[in-house]
Amino acid sequence: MTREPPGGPDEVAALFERYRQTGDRRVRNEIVERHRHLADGVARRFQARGLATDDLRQTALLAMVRAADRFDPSKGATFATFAGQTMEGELKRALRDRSWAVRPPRAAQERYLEVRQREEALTHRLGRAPTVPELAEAIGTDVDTVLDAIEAAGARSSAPLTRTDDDGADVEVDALLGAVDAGFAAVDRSMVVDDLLADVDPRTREIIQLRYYERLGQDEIAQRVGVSQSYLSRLLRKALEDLRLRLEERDEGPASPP
Amino acid sequence: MAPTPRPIELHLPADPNLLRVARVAVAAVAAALPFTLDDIEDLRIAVDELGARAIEDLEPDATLELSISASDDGVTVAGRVPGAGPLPPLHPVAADLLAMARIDLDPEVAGDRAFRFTKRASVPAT
Repeated sequence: MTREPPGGPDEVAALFERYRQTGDRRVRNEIVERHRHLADGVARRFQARGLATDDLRQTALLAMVRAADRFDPSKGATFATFAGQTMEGELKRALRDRSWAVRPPRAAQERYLEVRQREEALTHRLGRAPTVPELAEAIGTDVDTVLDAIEAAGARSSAPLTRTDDDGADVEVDALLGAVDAGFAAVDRSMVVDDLLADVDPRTREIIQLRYYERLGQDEIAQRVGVSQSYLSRLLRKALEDLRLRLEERDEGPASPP
Repeated sequence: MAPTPRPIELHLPADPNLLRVARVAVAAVAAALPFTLDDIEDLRIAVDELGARAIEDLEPDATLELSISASDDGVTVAGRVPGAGPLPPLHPVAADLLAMARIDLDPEVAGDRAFRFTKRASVPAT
């Protein structure tokens, strides 16, 4: 069970209302302080997975601050739920970034991610983190565009993952799974998909990434992974079916431990 | 791009929503220096938290005065709200965020609601 913050949900809702109206950082910080035990708890769960404890706690706390900036109480989920999922997503991403080169495009973050990806590549090449002018030059853009991307990421919204369907229409990846998680899905569906994909086998993950994130055609993916197109089609169907089942199990499963 | 030759002066109404302007300004100044993205994120966090503290509980007709200056390897931000009295206590979460931002915060700045800090580039200037 998620422990309720001091003051209870009504008081937290009132704080969010006040924060939305005023933008007062002390109000936001008070919300974060009341949920700090969640950040510490999430950080503890990620210990011994390759990141230092201080880094984990800092990443979790910063994720919670950003979650507070993005949280919309009208979507139905509690802040504890939303912040918990956001922090887990950030920590998993921090761990996964080392081995998973393909990242899902999110409308508000796409350019920011491009900047971050290029930063990572340059870091390897230079043996140090690149400066912003170096990044801009590598991307082929100007410094202002890089700075705009950073600002946009700071105020990012929880845009769903989309892919372009065969007929050119945008389709949300989680819509393809055919299931709706009433409160949470509306708040940040992409985190759910991230979480589910983190646990699938590497080939299935690669196929899903190529199809729904890189938006490649089935024929090209089939060539890349060395199977026939009809077999690839079956693999994709099965992968989506498995993800749908796991999503349903996740919805019906027990609450996370504190 | 060479560092800004003289400080940038910003006067903002005491509205937390306008701290976005300060974040953009410090990032623009820092981009002329060998700052990494993480350095700039740190700088943005610091100016946001300290600026927010300086204008806390003030009416929007108060003015936050910011001075942003660049040296060869760092950005210094000084802020104050004239006539607004002493700074309110630092919230524990703000303190943690500032600790993460790895800034040199001047502990003794004279003046009402005043602060001053320097963020140094993690990449040495060449």
